[in-house]
Amino acid sequence: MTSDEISKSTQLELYKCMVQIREFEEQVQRSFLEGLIQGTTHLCQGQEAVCAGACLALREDDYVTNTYRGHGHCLARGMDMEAAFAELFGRSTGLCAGLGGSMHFTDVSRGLLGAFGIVGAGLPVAAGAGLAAQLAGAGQVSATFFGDGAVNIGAFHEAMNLAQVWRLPVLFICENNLYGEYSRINVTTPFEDLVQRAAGYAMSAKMVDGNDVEAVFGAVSAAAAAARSGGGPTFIECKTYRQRGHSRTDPGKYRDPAEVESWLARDPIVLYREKLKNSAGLSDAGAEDIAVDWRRRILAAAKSAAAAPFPDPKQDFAARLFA
Amino acid sequence: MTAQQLTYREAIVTALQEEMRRDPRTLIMGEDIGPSGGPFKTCQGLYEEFGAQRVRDTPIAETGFVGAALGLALAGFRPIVEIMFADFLGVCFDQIVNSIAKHRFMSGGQVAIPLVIRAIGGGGLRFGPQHSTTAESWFLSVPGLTIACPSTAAEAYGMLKAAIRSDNPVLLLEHKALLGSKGSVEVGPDELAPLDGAKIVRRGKDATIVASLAMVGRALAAADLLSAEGIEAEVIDIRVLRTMNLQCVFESIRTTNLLVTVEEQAQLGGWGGEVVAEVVHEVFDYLDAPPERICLPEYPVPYSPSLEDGVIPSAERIASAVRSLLEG
Amino acid sequence: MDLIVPQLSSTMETARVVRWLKRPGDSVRMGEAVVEVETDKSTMDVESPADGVLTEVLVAEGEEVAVAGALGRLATSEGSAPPMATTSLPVAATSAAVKPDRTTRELPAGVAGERVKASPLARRLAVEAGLDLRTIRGTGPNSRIRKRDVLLLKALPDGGAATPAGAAPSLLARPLSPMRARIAETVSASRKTIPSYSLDRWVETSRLAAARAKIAAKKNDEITFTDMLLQALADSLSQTPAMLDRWLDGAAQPSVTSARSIDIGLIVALEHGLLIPTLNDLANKDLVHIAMARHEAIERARAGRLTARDQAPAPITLSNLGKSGVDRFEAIISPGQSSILAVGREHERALAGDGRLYAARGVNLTLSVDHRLIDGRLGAEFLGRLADRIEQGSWRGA
Repeated sequence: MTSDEISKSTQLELYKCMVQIREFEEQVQRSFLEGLIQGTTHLCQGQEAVCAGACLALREDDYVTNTYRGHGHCLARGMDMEAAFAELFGRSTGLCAGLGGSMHFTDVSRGLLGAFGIVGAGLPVAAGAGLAAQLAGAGQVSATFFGDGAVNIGAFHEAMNLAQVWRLPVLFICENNLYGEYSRINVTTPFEDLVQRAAGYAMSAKMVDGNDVEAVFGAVSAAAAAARSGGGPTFIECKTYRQRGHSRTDPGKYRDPAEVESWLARDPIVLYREKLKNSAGLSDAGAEDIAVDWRRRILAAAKSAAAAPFPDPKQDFAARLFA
Repeated sequence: MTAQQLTYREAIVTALQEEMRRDPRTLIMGEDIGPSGGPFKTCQGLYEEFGAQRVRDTPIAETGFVGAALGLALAGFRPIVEIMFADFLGVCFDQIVNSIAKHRFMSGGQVAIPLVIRAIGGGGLRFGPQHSTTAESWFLSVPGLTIACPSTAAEAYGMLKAAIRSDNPVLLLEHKALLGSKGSVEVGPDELAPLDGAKIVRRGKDATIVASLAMVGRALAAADLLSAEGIEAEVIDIRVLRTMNLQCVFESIRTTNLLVTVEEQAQLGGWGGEVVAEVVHEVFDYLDAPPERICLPEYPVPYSPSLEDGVIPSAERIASAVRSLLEG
Repeated sequence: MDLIVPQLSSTMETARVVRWLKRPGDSVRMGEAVVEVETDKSTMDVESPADGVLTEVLVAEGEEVAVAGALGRLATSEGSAPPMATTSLPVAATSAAVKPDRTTRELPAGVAGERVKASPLARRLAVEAGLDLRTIRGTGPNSRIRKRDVLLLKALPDGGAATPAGAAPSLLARPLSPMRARIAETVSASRKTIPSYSLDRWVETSRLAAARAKIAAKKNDEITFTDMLLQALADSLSQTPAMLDRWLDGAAQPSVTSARSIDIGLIVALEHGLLIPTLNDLANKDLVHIAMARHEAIERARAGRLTARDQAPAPITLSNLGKSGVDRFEAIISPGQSSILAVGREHERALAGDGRLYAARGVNLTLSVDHRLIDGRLGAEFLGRLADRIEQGSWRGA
């Protein structure tokens, strides 16, 4: 699908989605500093184009699995923000009743099967969901998001192999932000273009500019269509960059300032706003309205969540554990 | 319902057939379980009956297909996985303990995970150190898992059916040395064995022996030896290691006052320690001697046949422990 | 810890201190005699329950003290001591002369503040039966009291104080007498710890009998066959000093000790048991002396008044069952000794010599020896020497 074929309404949707993710993550950062969020969190500022572009290209009944850097994908699938904040604040009204936290946002009603904290662990699960889709025969696909660090772990290889051998409708969407935690890709992986991994599994692969939301949208749409019609899995590498550190406590000083600068200059939201200003008539005021509107809604969600009660320590935990 | 004489292996196959017929959402995956029927023939005939979609040969990729089982379960299916040797549970350990065991909890109870992992383990068949563990002790400390250990054909049948119908993840530890053992099995659509509770398999008043898997048979043989000497031992099959329910063990100790546990694993970290701790806690005032634990030694199961036979607890060793408790 | 008066017989209530064998400041070993006391039955040594130092004498010589009373105080490295072997029967601890011991805890205590070992079940059963754990002898490991020990006591007509009136004892068992219990322990210990072998020799006694008749004719004293055996033994021991070696228990490493004098134990049969007084310093003694020593030791044994010297260690014991109908037997080595000589009855026997058959009178000697210290060749050498001495040696009458 080329950008001509993306409707104006979809374009606006993509833009709004990216802004929502950005504003949400900024609020999360602020909430941290206010002490409302404890432990650690992994933010995705700078990677919004992948989240929005991929998730909006999927069907409602498709499955998504992701990782601890998963707020963006979940928001793009329509996750309730108040429930999300409540989960981050550890409240009983949280998405996962306060039991999972930032790293494990799960919402099966929106096909969000789970966010996994062990690198690569979600990929076999995604393969299984893909098998379920194949058996069910309703044309669903199973999309899984992971970072460049995951392409070196066993679970990745086993899942890729399994998906290809069984021709499962799985989209392996790799957010290559060049860093596995604090290690740059060149010290952990033999090459920087990760599509080469897919070649090892005879799997179709596509490499896109992960900061170009329409490129991502197009790639995922095409891959999903192929998968739905029995074409098997696709590996989609999205080149992107995180604006902040690996996690809350990481100032990201291990990154070359010049590299950071060049990527910051390619902020996906700024880039898309520019494009839409020209092609879809998005005015500066309009863009500002979108941002302000999200901030208002996000602030309200955070405020409500902050007023929610903490979980009861005497609750029936066994019921949470066993069905 | 009818009582049939089945081997442990046949009991497994029968249970799989019945449950896969009953629920089209069930499917089974594992290495060589398709047309080959499984290396231990525990899936004989399934491929022919249910086809390649529901009876899948996997690549050698335990992390891959056990994780896939989780994905299937989350997406509404009821997968069964066969692990060829329980030792290989080490490969997919992460998927089991970090994902399968925790996922429902982490999601706040949103998801159900109706999956079964059948792992065939145990020593005595000269398979050597990396192919002989029962893995009974490996997952004991992981909440969220149900760990069941069938010691007879009847238990293998009933527990597998119950596991497949359970909406929670079940790790079924089968024993390869028991595969050929024959027993009476009540076969029927709803003949499930409870995935909870130990069971008295032989009544006696002089000492309590708690055992698992293949050690249950050895404990019974020990009881026969002792019976000839006028000592009547009570033998209890622990059956389910997680969650452990020892009510009948406590009752037994109130009569016998003496406890021996027999497990086919090394002492440290073995379930016997848990049983001893629970017994001391619950029926302390009924104990007439410190409980005795019979285990494998603190080294892997060796290959050489005489050495392997030497490390696996024998009926005589069990009987001897009972005698020591009585006479000491 | 306290050194207390043990219950040496079931009727004993008090003891009189005869002689302190140790003084304050002396170090004592576990099992070593510390003080001689006289009871209603005999004079006995009270042994130290642990290694340590005698720090205080609480009861002077000549004074009386009740059973379980404190005789003195010991300083030990640990606070506990094993139960004394002589306390075998249920004992009602009398508190009349017990000095208050600040170290005694509330828990039931055995000897001198030590915690009674009992299984949880036994404790509960004892409480339910109203029995004092201190009165129960434990037969479990480390003398732990088990259910069977409590039940045994419960079944005794006089032991189960809290059993409901009219409840009949359900067992046929009766407790052992202290002597029987001590013999049982001793012979069991011997069998368990001393690897022995035995050597046989038949000796002709015609020359011995003639010599004895001759000596008896000269004196009024009665010289017995036993006396002559004792002299023969003493001479043979002098010539085979290695037979004087004894295994030393309780040392840090395997050790042997050897007496400087020729001491021989003599088994004295009593109505319900036996005692083994030691006849001291028999080297070169004449038969009259030996006979007197033997006679007096037997008297004391039968009266239950053995002295400390009577219980001095010896390397060998003589067991003469000659008056019984026994041809030959193997005796059990006394712990602390290294051999024992068993002598059967005198009888006539067919022998062959110089190509012809003849009859002769004699006895079977069976020597049992501790193989840890004395190998076969040496044992045989000694037995041969003894046999020669009996058959051909000359006798020192007076």
